[in-house]
Amino acid sequence: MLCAGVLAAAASSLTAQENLTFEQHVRPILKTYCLDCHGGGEKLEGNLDLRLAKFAAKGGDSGPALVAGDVATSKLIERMKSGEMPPTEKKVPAAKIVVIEKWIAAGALAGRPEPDKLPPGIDITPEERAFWSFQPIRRPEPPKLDAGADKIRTPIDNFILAKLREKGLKFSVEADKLMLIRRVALDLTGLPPSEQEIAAFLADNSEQGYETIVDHYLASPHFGERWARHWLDVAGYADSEGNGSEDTVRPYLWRYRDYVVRAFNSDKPLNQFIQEQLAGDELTPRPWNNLTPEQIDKLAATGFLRTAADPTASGMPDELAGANLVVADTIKIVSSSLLGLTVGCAQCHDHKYDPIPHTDYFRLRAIFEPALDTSHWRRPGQRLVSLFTDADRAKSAAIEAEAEKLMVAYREKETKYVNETFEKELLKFPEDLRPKLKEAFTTPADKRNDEQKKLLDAHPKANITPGVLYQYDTKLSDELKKDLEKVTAKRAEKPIEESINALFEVEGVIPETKLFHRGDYRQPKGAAVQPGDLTILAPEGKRLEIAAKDPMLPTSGRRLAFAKHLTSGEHPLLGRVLANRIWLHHFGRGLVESPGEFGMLGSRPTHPELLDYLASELPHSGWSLKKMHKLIMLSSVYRQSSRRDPAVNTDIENALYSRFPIRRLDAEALRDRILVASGKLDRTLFGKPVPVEEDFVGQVITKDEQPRRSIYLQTRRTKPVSFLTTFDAPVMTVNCERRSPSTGAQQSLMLMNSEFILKQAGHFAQRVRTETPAGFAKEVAQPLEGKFARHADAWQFGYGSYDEGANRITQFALLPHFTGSSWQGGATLPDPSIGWVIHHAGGGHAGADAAHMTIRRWVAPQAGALAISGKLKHGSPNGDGVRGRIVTSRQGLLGEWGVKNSESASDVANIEVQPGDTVDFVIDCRGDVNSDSFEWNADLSLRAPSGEVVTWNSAKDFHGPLGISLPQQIAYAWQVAYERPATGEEIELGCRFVLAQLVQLRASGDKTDHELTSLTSLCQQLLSSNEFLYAD
Amino acid sequence: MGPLTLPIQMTTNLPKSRREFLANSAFGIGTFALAHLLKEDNLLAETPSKPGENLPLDLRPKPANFAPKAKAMISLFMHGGPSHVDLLDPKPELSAKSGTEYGGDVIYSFVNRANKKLFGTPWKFSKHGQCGTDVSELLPNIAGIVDDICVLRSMHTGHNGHEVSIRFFHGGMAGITGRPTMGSWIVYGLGSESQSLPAYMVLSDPAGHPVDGTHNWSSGFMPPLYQGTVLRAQEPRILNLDAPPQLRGKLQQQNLSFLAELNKRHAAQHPGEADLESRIASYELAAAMQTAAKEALDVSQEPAYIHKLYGLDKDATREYGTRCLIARRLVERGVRFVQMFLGGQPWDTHTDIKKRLPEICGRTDQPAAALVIDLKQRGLLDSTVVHWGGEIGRLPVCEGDLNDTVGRDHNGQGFSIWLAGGGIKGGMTYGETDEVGHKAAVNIVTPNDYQATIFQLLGLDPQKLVYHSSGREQRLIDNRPARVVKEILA
Repeated sequence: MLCAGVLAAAASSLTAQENLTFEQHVRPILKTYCLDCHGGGEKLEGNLDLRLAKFAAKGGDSGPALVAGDVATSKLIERMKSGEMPPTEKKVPAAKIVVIEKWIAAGALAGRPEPDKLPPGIDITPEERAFWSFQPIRRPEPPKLDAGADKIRTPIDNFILAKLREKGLKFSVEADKLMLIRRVALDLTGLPPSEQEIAAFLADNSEQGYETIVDHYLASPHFGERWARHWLDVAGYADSEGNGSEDTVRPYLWRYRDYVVRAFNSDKPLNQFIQEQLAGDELTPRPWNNLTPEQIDKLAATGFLRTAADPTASGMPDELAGANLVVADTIKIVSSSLLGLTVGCAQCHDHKYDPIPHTDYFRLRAIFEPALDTSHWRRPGQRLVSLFTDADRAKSAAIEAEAEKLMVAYREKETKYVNETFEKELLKFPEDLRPKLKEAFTTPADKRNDEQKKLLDAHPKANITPGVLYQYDTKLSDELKKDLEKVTAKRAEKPIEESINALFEVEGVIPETKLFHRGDYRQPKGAAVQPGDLTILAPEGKRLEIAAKDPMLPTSGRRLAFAKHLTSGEHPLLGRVLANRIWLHHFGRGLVESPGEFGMLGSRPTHPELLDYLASELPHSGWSLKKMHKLIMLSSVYRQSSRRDPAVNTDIENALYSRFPIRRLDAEALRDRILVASGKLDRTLFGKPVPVEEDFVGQVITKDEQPRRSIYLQTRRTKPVSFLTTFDAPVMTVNCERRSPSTGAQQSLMLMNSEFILKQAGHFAQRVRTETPAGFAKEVAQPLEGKFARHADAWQFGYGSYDEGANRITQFALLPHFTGSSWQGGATLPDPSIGWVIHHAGGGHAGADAAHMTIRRWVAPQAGALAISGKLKHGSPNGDGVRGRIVTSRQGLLGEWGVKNSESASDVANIEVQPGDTVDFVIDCRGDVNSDSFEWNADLSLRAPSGEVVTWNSAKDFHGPLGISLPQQIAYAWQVAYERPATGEEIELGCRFVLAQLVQLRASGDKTDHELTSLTSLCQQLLSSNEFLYAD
Repeated sequence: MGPLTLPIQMTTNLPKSRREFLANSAFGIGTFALAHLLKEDNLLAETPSKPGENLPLDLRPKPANFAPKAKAMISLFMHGGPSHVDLLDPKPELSAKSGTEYGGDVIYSFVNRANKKLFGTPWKFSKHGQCGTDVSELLPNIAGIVDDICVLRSMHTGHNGHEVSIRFFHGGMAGITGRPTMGSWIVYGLGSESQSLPAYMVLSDPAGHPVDGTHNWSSGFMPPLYQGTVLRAQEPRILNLDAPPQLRGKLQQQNLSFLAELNKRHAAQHPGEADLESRIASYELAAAMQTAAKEALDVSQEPAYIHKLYGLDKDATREYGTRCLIARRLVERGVRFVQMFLGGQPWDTHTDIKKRLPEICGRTDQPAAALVIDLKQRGLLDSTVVHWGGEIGRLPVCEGDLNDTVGRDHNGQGFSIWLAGGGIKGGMTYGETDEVGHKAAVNIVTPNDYQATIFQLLGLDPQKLVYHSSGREQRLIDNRPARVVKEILA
């Protein structure tokens, strides 16, 4: 790390004792602010060259720029301080001037002998070469540690633990199994674990249990989808061209997306993966006809170089400008994803911070220019490879021949029918007119003379054409229509021509790459630049030079050579950049925090040895991505709990990985997880993107609400899916090196009110209602059932007996059978054991004896004062009528009314009830069992001590079987959303919420299914909660 | 100006403090929100970020780089290129030579209709106000506020195309997309005075998106938190602001308190995770926003004379006037940056300029002037910068034949905009174009100069306001030469 932080120019920390050298301390400052005009450029302003200390002392037109040991007379300082130099807006910061002053004061020394002459341009100094990321990757030995209480499982643990111990810290405890399986599933597949997967893992207490689930999810087809999304961000994948507001859809780039998914799923070695993306076309022998699936894959891989926005898609006035933008963006994507460097600065001039000369940028450009040839530009539509095979063509031709036959037959029939109809119609004209009319009609339209034309104009009814045949004879025209449909159907049998968006060169056309003066494509200059990698990325004098043309290939072969060089295992950046990205997605933070910038301006690695270890591990393990995942995920570092114990853990920022970070799901994982909970997720793999559209309020949604995984949604640059962008999914301009997770009210509003969340919560609630298994979570839920009865739950429909001495109900049993409109003893009446007992909404029928009284029971859900106002009615002159009683468990008999072909009020006021008290509406037959149908309608009004009043009505609240209890349903919702059982306390919380909603819905006169509505609200809150949004 | 001298009655709809607002909002103030607010106040004293790091990615108020003149900005963006020689930049020489061949070089965008004949303005200019600034008869209301505005007559993008110049004005670099707009930078740097309204609001036109669509309010490489929130021209004005009607009120309150309880329990399991806490707060703020946004958008609360001032009583001006009035209500309530757009580009008068220019002026002149008058009478003009202007101007020569269908082609070489308030010196003009109004000639102002000047008013230093992206220090003006136009500062 020789010159780490030179630039940040820790001027403040410099002391006079330090040995300031030109190379290490001063030149970087001069390079940023001065060398452009004083040594680096073509013109030497004021004849002053500042590239060497010696040159500076010598000076230019205005004399020496500095005098060693004498700050006061050094013009360099004077000009900088006065702001005269540099002449641009960007001045040298005071802190940096101080560094130069100190260096001059200390004698303006160079760190080593300087040459008398320098070749033109800014050379690369040994200090710059010593920068950490340009060093060859070595394989550091993991620090040797005494494990002690910490579990050391992989070398990663050694590296991390060594640093933790330096600060007196240790690993956090291991995460519990539920946390672990959720973490692994979400991390590897972007989906939560299934119930079965959880059960299997919880049951597996073997040493290998954890490794088994890691393997399981690595083998999941959804693994590729998840990790492809990460890569597609860096690759800048989009399904549209980005040509202004038109934003033409790219119809075929999805094959590249599928290629990436497939590559990850099959653990395609990363070196091969990179080679195919950069040069799949050069790996596929031409001609590209009758392509095999492997060949299609390789060509689709080059979609990586077709992701950049292409403003030339629909033509533009200055196509050269658009073409150059495509080249520049493509180079940006390649360099930030594979090199971890921003090379764009070197497009116009030598890079001000990194040792990337202007020419190096064009060396890179020369690699891509034969395919992205701005002098023979091809628009996206001209860069397609057809997937039509010879067989497809033959089939297509055969079908066309058949269709043509049908068409000939159709035409003949048409003529025949028209003529026949004419003959019939002709009979309606006067006989003398007929020959002339016929003659005119049979003469082809373009050969008719004026007289004939006139005649037909005068008698339009005789001028029958195929188009108006239907007006004369529907039967004939319908028959013709059907024949024509057959022709169309036949043609539809032809195979559809599909294509690949690919990058490839035109054989034999290799343009020259020229340096652009100040990056202006209209000002190319000098000799052709030869292709190659950046100079700094190889030891001095050994930089990669690529042959202008590979003699073994029909095309230049430049990209293939570059790809092979990158993946040789020796490249200083590629391995580090890839390893860092993998780490970043596992831990939410890179070992280098700027994953697309490993240069001077980027962050320095927090654990450089670990980074190199991982980078070296890639070629070491055959470039296997899955092995790398396993290495990381089996570590103790990864298995730590995410809960920080503030008493012992002082690593608040988690800078040292003393726990696992808790992280919000990214946009796609969040949407997918919601769809899993709602039960709607369509797990189909691959294929054309799901189209998006704007809904009536302007949100971009998927057409027809297709619940495919988010990676398959169309990514239109101008129509990004609203839900995803709200949760920080990138809107692709070029590419996205890293997402910045944000938290804001817009996200909350999206989760509170968007149609998407409301719909999915509705599906989730419906699912809870129909799927909650009988007996689910009985132990926790049952004790709560009495306490949390729903409104309708307050009513029970049964029979039993009443003790006239005790004034109490002595027996009560629920009726076992519901017909759809009434409760009774069985399907047919009288039931052999229960007899005639019936409850329906408005009343029922009394039973035959004292043991079979008809009892409608109301159970108080809460304490309060109850008032009942009712009307009991018997409507038959036969028999002796019925007797009604109201009996409570607390007070006993409250009233008794007999009716026979009459009605009676049955009001009772001010009954004190406690939760669980019963109020029974009891009917018996009196003595006679004839004609004992009755109607009894009662309104109940319960005033709680708070003053709140809740009401019931015996007819309106009548219900069939209620099925699974509310506490059970809530327990199930919890399980589905959080993949863990709910606690009793949580179920209580949920029940209280649902009951409160039910009260509110009743009070508002809402017309929906109240229970479903409130259950939907509960589900929505679960989906919006932090436990759901965050993975721990 | 103190509130007592206001010629209007103080009503309850005048701005409340954030604290007061939250306390009175529908859901009361949560304990967390209170803690959050207190923290927010302290924050102003803290160093916002360490070197090499971004400012905190949230909308809490942040200290300016130096004492600001203005707190907020309203930009009336005039898409298409208002014809400066017919509106704000009188050219007697052009009128004198009208119909004669122009001697200079002209870059035409529409070469098929190119015509080198000079075309003097068909409208009369006259002097207005104490300052005597010349304004065309097409802008009688703006003419009435010249003492409060500064007309910049030497704007120059160097590019004649619409998009290329629009992006220069918004993103700091000509033609480049993918960069945050000025509004994003301002909100990133200063946060928001209101936590119950979006900090950066875009008032869109019923006629649809402006040219260049969503790029006009993109946050580019910054998180979407900093992109403009589009206030739609029809209901619902803000997406997802309300629950469906049947779920509003008490039901949603119950939902939110249940959710808060779930989150509280979860946070207790993860002590000290700031992100979890700020998400809990974001729900309280969202709830506050529901009430605050509705209140802010309800112009029916304004008295009749205000409606009349903005032209809400006339068909021609009602729509644009309503938006100008909403813009005032928004900044009054702490919104940092409001930008108004026009659908398509009504100022792009290639043909029929004699008919079309009066139309668009008639639609926007009175509301734009009313905004300045109203801000001033409320004492808000001092702290609010108002910007009126397009991305380009128009050529002094004809497009097509010099007859009733004549028009003018694009001109990014010289054109006019105006600024008012927030520390801008009123009653002046700045810069000059050449004698026919073709190219900016004296005191040229580029979009970067314009941005640097706006930043100056808001207390921001374009060099210091840095966002780290792609490992690069990004700045609005991207280290290009930019000059604060000090001459126009009060």
